[in-house]
Amino acid sequence: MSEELEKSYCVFGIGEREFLIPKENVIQVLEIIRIFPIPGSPDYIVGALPVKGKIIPAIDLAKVYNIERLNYSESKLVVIIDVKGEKIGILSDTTPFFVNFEPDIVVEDIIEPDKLFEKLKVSQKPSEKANDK
Amino acid sequence: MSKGKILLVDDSPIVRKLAEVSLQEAGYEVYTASDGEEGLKTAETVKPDLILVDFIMPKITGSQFCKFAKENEILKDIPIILITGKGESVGQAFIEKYGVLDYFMKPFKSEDLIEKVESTLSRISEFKYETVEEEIKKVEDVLLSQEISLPEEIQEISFDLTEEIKTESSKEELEITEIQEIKLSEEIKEPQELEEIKETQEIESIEIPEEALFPSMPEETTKLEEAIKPSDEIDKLIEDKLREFSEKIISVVDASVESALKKYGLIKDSSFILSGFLDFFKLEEIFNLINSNKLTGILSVFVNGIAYEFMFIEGQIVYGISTLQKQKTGFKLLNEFSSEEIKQLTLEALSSLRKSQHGSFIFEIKQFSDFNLFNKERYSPSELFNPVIH
Repeated sequence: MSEELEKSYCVFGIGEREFLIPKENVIQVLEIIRIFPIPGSPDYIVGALPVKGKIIPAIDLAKVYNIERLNYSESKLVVIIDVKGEKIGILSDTTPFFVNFEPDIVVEDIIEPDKLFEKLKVSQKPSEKANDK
Repeated sequence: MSKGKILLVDDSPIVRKLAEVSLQEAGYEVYTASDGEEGLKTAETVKPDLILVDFIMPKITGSQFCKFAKENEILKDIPIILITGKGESVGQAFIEKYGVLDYFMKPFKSEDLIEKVESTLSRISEFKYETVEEEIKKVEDVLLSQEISLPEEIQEISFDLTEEIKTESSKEELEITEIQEIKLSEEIKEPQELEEIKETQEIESIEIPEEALFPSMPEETTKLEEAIKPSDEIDKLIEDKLREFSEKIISVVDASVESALKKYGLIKDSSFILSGFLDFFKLEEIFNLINSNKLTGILSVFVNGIAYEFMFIEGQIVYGISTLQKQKTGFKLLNEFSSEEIKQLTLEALSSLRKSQHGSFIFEIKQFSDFNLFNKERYSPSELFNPVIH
């Protein structure tokens, strides 16, 4: 009954921090098999990732939010999210999982995909456009 | 001596480790769980004094955890502190919605955590102390109301008597001020006489003041009403107290056995697996431990390359068999044996096991679904150990 009222989020970890992203934006969680570095790209773009025959940028949010990793373990998982029809891969240091809770609990560290996208777009515009081609 | 048992539920291994180490250094007994589900299970078996719980966790979130805990008979009174990295508003929401005692921001310094835990636990003990005092008051009230129902009138009589006696005796005192020594003895004698005389008069006179006193003492009238069934109340209170007490004692005893085993690394996880060497434990002790805790599961003992297997249901042995016996009997199913044969096999297994001193054992809690097992004959360890001796 209350399940319907609850909102679902995908939780993933960057360093020791947890971020939440609305479940509806998450397409899938993948294990990184190959990642192609993109020369000249901003440092938060780790590289390009082939997903279902398409190349999508993989982003390390640690660089975006200036998070220090205490124990740097190479993250092997990536959360593929959809923002306005475009796909972005976000690296996760932990195995992502889903949580539900009531919407009246105001939680910090929720990533709103639109805002994230805007934020990234501003700084990465030239290089990303170039890489898309 | 541990200052108290604390259960920490958090999915982050670093947070778990950090909190565990710092709280252990501070003298607490720390149990950890990596998600809500595990946390609830551990909480039920451990019965901690305080639970620290994270909000964002897989399987069961902190909010669900609190909800379940409040619905659970065993856990509902255990105070919970929320640990969250998701802002003050989450903590506030939890206090309002889920009855969380307090919240704590992540990331934290270990000193801060210890301080928080200590202040919370002391607050709880104060709170508990108050409730005990309240209960004592309750008992006293009940007792008082019982006594008051009769003595009140008597007291009033005596008061009135003494007052009148004083006034009369003081008159006499004024008259015979010079002979004080004799006066004293007279004073004592005279009131007695007066009492006898006055009593009849007083009882008559009391009837009038009693009516006059009623408006001034409404409390006492209500107390009198309450006193109609005070014995029931006292019985209930005593019963509750006893139950609480025995629960506490039982948990203390359990905890001490468990903690002793845990200290020496004999129990990996107190709630699930019991393991160790026969050099440290006598076989009988292990059996009795399982029996007294009414555990259900499989005890495997390895001695000289032979594995023994004992099945326990609610602390009682269903069967025991060694690998050698298994080879002899040709791996028949349990149902193919008669209860006599099973008992014989169990006794054989036990007697051969008792000859060897060195070995290791592991007990795993399992829940059996096959109800046939529950219809099997079961034996208590002492029942089986005694025939072996003879």
